[in-house]
Amino acid sequence: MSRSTESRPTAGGPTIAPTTGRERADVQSAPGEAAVPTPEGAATGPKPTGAAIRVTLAPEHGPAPVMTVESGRASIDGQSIPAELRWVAGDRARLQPQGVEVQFLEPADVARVPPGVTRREVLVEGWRLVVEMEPAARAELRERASRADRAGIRRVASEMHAMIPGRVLSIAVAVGDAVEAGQAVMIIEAMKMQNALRVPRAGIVGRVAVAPGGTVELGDLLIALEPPPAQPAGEAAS
Amino acid sequence: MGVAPPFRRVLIANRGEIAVRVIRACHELGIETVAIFSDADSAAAHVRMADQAVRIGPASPAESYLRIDAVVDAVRASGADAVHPGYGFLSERAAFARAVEAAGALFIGPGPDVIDALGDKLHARRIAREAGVPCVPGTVEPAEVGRPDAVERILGHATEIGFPLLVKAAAGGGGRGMRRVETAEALPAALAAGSHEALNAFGDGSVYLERELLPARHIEVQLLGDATGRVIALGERDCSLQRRHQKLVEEAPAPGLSSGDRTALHAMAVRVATAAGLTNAATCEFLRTEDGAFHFLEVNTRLQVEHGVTELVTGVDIVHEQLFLAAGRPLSEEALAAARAAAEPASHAIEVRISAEDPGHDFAPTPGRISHWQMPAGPGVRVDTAVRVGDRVPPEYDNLIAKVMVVAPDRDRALDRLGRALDEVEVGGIQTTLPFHRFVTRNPAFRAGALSTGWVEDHWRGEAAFERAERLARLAAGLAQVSRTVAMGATPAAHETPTGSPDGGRYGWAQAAIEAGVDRWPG
Repeated sequence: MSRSTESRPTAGGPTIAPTTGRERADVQSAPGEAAVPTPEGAATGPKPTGAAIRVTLAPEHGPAPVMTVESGRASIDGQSIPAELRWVAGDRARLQPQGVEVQFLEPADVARVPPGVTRREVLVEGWRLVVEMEPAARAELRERASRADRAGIRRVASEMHAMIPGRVLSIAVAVGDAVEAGQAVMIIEAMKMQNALRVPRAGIVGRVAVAPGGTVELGDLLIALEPPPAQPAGEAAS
Repeated sequence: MGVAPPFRRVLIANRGEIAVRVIRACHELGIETVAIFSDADSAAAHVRMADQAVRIGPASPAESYLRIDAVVDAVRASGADAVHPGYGFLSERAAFARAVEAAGALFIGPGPDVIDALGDKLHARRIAREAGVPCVPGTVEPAEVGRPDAVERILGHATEIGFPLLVKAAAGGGGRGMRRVETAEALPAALAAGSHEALNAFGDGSVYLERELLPARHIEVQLLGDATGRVIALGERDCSLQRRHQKLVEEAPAPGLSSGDRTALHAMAVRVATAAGLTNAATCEFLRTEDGAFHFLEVNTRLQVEHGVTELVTGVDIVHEQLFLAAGRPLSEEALAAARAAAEPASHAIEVRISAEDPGHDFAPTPGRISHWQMPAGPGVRVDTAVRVGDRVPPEYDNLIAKVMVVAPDRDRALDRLGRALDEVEVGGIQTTLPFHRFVTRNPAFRAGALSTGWVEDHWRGEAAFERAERLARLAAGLAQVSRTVAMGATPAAHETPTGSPDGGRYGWAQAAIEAGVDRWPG
């Protein structure tokens, strides 16, 4: 989260300038403003909250704070953001009052989307993002169930998957090694550049799923981490 | 056709946009073309465009585009009478130039002896020093990476040069094999990694040390030379905007130089090239420190990625010149006239490199399939690319996928034109450097010409820009989805595919949009 840097000169968004001369506002610069009703909101009267949509980023982009979108506004991090979409032509629309043009594309890998989730590819200001949408009520139900499943499990294992396809140049750890959060564990060469892969959290290497010299595809399992030993453990430290 | 073609058939020992660029130049001159390709490129643009194509091996560059024997076999098999090496791969390998000549074909570029003299960056530094051209401080002999007993000596040199310094590949280019080193402790690992990367990329693991000059601008001079020993400068380019020593934006002329600066700079470049006996085309690179002094960096004995901006400003087709020069013809009248006018350029050109990299995540590579592809056009716009919709950007090669160039009477108008052109660009399926270029084009410091090789680190906040964009994207997609569900009169949880047409009168403007969206979005 780095809102302070959001006031860079381009933060207003380049794209095609609105000819109305209307002030453009940043997405995050209008906290607490009243929601502006959109035409369809006005047409349908008071809106049932059951229509809210949970919008997340596709896994390839990494985690992002939960955003819930309703007709005419969205909320993220407890902030309410007024916004409406004006369709320009076909797959293009303008987001107001942000004043940016967006384009929707068919995402390439629809087959991998879980049932009940809709995936879209969005182009905005030169960025290309894949987002996933699910009715907010459904997402909350699913989360409650998953929290219940995990109750009682304090420490969890985790897996690292390849974020880029390439060739494994070297591996710095072996099964049983303790690693710190942020530690570089292997180097993957892609497009002739060497990319160090770092573990997101501390733990014990439980499995190394690749070997030096091997090639990996996007999403391949690289390393599985087991939770670090519990802190109050009576066992002797190695 | 005005003049007789310099060659009958030219083999292009490269791939991607530069192979396409050379094929175009050849076809304009009535020359037949031969493409070579690896298994990753069997349906690539350069293969489609060439008159014939020869497979040279598997996807890995070491087993295909870097294999001198395989490429020379293709030269023989195709009956090509000349070989254009493009940039990268074998373009600066004297052994390749010699092998081509041994096979009875001409190498389009400086001769092997000149490649040896200038292509080896250490040797080039010695030539420049002897020609009285100031160099970036550093070593002039290769570091003995493989010898543990030499570590002390290397550290001694490093301490003399001062930290931070750069480990650079003697055979290098494009930042490959280069490492920035801040402390003596980090030096051995950087030498090993740089040497390994250099060996991989160029087949030569020699590395040396050079002081990191910061802040500085990267300014280079385009050179042409003919067999009579005459060398001319076609003007300079500013390529200061770099990331990991890979250029991102290039322009000609370099902003803010006086006519006197240009004359002096061009003369220094010509001096180095003449001392080395340069023929054909090359580029002499300098760093310009804040005091206005130029420091010789290296000479690239090949066509540069960014040659197009010089072409747009001078009107000279550098690849045509290369072809004629290789065939033994003298420098053209147009080239000589352009060289005479080089200190007083009459227009301004800018190029941005659209690469398969994520500018929101440290410019990490983003190979993958391109699902949507729209390039700009219109007055003063040139796009050099080898990509079309459905193409896969392979992870094995350079991630440059398009060069967008603009030309206008002056820099301000060129920037306005570039902004317009980049607004027309749409790429789906993979993230590219486009957001960074849109940012640069509108950045006041860049517009003011305040350039430096540290510019990207100083100005680009990729994560914040990504965060802003991902929110806009989610907001827009969410609103589109909400309006769709509301219009369908369905509870979103049902997630059903629409079958009937909603009441158009009731929803007004949203109607057409919803239908458009539904048509395109598989539920």
